[in-house]
Amino acid sequence: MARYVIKRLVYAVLTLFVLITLVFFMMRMLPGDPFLGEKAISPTALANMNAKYGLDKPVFIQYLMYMGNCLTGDLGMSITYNRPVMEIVSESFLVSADLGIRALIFATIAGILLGAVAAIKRGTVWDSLSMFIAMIGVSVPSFILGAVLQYFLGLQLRKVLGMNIFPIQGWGTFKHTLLPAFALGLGSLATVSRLMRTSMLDVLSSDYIKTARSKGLSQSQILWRHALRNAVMPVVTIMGPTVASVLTGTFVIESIFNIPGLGKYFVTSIKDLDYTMIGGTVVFYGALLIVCTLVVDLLYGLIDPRVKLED
Amino acid sequence: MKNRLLAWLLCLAMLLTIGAVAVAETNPNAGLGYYPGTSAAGSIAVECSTMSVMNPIKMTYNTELGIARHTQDCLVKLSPVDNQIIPAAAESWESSADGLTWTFHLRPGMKWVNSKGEVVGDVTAKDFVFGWSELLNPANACEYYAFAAVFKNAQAYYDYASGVPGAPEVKLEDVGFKAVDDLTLVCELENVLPYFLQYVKFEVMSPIYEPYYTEVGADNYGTSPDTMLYCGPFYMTDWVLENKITTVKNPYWWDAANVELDAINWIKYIDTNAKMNAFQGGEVDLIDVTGDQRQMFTAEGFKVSNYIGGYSFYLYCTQDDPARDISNKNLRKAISYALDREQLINTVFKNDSEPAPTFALGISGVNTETFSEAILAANGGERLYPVNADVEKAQEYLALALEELGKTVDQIDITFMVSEGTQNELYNQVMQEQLRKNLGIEAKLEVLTITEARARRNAHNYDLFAGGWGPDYNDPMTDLDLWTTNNGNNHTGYSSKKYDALIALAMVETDMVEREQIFVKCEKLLAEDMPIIPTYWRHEDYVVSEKMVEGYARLPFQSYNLIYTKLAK
Amino acid sequence: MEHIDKSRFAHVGESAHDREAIARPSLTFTQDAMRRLAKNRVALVCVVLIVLLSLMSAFAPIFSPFDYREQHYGHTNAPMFSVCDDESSAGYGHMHLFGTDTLGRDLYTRIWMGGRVSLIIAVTTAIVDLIVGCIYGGISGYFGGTLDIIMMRLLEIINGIPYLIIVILLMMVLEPGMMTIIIAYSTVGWIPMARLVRGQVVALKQQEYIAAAEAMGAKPARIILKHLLPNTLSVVIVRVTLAIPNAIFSEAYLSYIGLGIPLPKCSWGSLAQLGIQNFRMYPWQLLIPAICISLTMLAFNMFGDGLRDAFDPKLRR
Repeated sequence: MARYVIKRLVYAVLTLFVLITLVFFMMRMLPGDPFLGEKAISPTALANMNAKYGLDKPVFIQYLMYMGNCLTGDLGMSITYNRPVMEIVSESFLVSADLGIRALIFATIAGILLGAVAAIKRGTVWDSLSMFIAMIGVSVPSFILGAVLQYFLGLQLRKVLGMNIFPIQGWGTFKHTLLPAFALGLGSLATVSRLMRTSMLDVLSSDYIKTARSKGLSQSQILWRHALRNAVMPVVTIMGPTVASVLTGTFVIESIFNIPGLGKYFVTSIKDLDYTMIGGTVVFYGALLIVCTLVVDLLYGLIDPRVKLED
Repeated sequence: MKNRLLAWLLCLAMLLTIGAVAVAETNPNAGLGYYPGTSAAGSIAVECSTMSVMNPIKMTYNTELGIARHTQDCLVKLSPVDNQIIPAAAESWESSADGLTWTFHLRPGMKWVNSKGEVVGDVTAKDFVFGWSELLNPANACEYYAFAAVFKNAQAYYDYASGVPGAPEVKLEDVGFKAVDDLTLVCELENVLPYFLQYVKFEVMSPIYEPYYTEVGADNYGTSPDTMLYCGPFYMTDWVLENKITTVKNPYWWDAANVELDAINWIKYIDTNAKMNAFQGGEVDLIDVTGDQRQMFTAEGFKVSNYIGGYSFYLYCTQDDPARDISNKNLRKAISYALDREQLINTVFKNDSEPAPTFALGISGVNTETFSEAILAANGGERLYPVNADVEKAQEYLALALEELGKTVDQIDITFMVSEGTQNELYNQVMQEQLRKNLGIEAKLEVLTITEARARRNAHNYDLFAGGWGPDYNDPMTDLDLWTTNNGNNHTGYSSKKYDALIALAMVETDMVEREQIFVKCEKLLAEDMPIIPTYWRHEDYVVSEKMVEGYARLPFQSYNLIYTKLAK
Repeated sequence: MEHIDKSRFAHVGESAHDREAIARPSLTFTQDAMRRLAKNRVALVCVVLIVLLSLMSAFAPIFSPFDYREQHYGHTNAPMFSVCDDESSAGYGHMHLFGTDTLGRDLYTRIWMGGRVSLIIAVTTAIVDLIVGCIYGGISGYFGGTLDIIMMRLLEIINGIPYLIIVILLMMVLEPGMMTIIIAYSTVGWIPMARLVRGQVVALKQQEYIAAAEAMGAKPARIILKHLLPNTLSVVIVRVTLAIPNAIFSEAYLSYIGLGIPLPKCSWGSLAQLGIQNFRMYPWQLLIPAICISLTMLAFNMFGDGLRDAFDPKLRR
């Protein structure tokens, strides 16, 4: 186990290295210039701006410098915001993670329960309800869901009741997290519940459940000790990258509910060609993704004794 | 000189009216009971789109400058009532007979405060000298350094300090601004500049308190409320990046007695539905609205306000690539006549934006209210660009163009380069459809990110690109010098010796009427050569909650002026 | 107990012919699955629905009196069932069944034009997802060890590169159009599938039937394709059906940044995106494309369930 983890960590560093290298050169191939504004800038001023961010040196030298700085934990200064990328990423990540954790807890618990119940009570109302929720979660994208929730629960409900239950936008109090966490989590909930249902059906028809049943175990014992544990595997698999992406926020939810999260920087940094910010978000997201998949792989071994962690 | 005289008169007029409560806008919906606005007493929340940088010398966006207008004091500023220059940090000023030397007398007793509202120091003439020096410091790489480059030796110093090869050595001390004493600032200009005060009022020309600036470091200054100082009517207490800025009334500001607001919250919205919901739900007091939203408010009986930011919109047309069909002058004219500008506005913007009769907008004329009127007068009252499509004329020009190009209509290859954004895409789709309908040309649309679109625009690698221009100062020159051969903003490759000569003539002409006539000739030449196809003059729509009763202003050169906003009782 | 007279029964005897007869027809795996699928009514209804949507998309724009790009300036944001009053239009006097959009374009025509794009993208990307994801995940999971680790790290790298960068770079090389959208989505769309399949295979390969197949000398390719993948089918089908709306919206996202189908063409995703801008005033502009997407999603999902029931070897009786 320890050896496996160490080996994986070595790979993680290598992966991150390759990722940063690739992204560094890819973003330099993006068309445009970060300093081209609406109005013209004198060549001297442009040269000064390039010099300030080290963009006047050959790309390969810039790459070496960037890698060196990354090793010391310095992600550079954002071109758009004139402040350290590390500071922006860490501040906004706290917000995204806060929201993301709420959304994930909601999505996984509700999704697993809904999926499991749908499978156990296959063909009943519960099954249809689970299907219906999953349908909404998947086929109504967050930009529609967020806008509709905001309008009906945020604005109209306030008009009807005359009190402020769901704030329309903003960030800061528990109330502010309700609608965005729901909108953010519903998509994952749908995926989780659908996967859980199928996987649970598979498990319930497997031999060891029949064995357990013939041993005379009670229904709840079978479900809790045998079925659920094995059925949750595909959900765990899909959760690795989902956790990474939900925790880092999404552009759509953040712009609808005006949340100062990390998600928008993934989009705006590329549109603004803020090289240091692109690098910073990629390093951060990449690291998080790698850690999440590692955790998922470790969880495999814990949940399913059939899986051996190979080293 | 006429300008100097005007400045003096204005200055005098302002001195007389100081103390009187100026009323700018009055809320048309006040007291009607539609949208009462935010609930917190004494404060307002307003929409503010971009607020990435708060160090005034590094600002580039209108909205950022709008916040600086509320937190810093330049020497002079614009009146929220009539948009004229009025005293701010400088109580009075005078210029020498040759117009090259200006002396500003600062208001005594102005204070620097920090984000906690504590007094840190006095505002002196030295702070202006320091702020302008930092603007010219190449290490800061300020995009708008050019505003400080009008001083004597300033451009030479900037070039030398930037290490431009062959630039002669110039010391910072030799640059034309000096603090004679704490309250007297003397400026020497490189050239006579009729609108020098318009430069000084620009927020990047704010003062900076040197001891504090060096303490926090140039790179850290203005990256958070706690790392900068304020000398304006408000100071910043909170800033969540890309989300919200809170500014609080500065009791030490010289005119604080007339400021009623306790605080302004500046909120950034990305989603247009979200901000309308927030407005109707009482979470924000002032937002910009789209044409469709305007119709909704109007249908409710709620009045939508609008203002002219001074922006003129047009299509850039590449001139210098003969391989492109668009380089044909008659084809461009055909397009201009095929565009139905009225329909364009009615379908896309659905507001009071005007079909552009000429290119330059909102600039005062010498004897007429606007420069544009002077052009129309010289043209026998006829517009240079039509309101509605003139299919017959368009077809005439198209026939000429086809003959010159040796092509049939189907072979005409035109692409609209579009920078992404729903509104912009709709705008271009309407023009595309009008060309198809009125000319039979199947134009393509190519949607790009704004950075890529700008790069290709600057490289003249496009056919048609919808752009706009907002004036930097109140003189037709700010618009018309764009199309000279060497102007950095002339992205069309248009190069006309005749046009360049006219602009050069206007630079030295001192008779204002004569000068205006030269500008009229420029506009007519533009319409003849058509390097750009003007489309519309933008009016911006916004709604104000009934909490804000009066005293706010939205005008050209000052997109927000909320300092003297009066609240509903 | 009541006595039953033996004479009431007669020995019929047995015919050798009857004894050899096969009561059920001999069926291959696929035939058996298709037979069961055909019995599943819900799945059949879904197939009909998908066919219907496809047919409408293919033919409705051809028979519509309106052109999908024709703008009626006097008639923007018209409600459903309003009659066109633009005399210069070929559709004068005809009804805008679904109303018009913000530029006065007939939504009925645009919905079906959009259906062409969205349905093709949905189906092709689902197929790419299925093929690439299953094979990649199957190989990685079955072989395990260093190969697995490297293949999975490769996934992390591809996943770590911002989609937007990939798309913008692709845009520089390729012409905007349907093919480009499919390529763009295909570069990253299959990753969750590969991960999922690999996870399933890792668990399944410890099972006895795999050991048995190995003992009988089956080659890895056979084991993966014939033994492992069919057993992951149920999860795979769910993932594919979930990926379909993803692909549709991914297209909308692409059109937002310019790689989408060239304007003024449209897709359900881009129609929904335009509709959301004004959904408070003109809700149908959002509702109609949203319903189309949901219907497609529902149909594919239920059909997927049917497929799963039909094809899953564990459920075979």
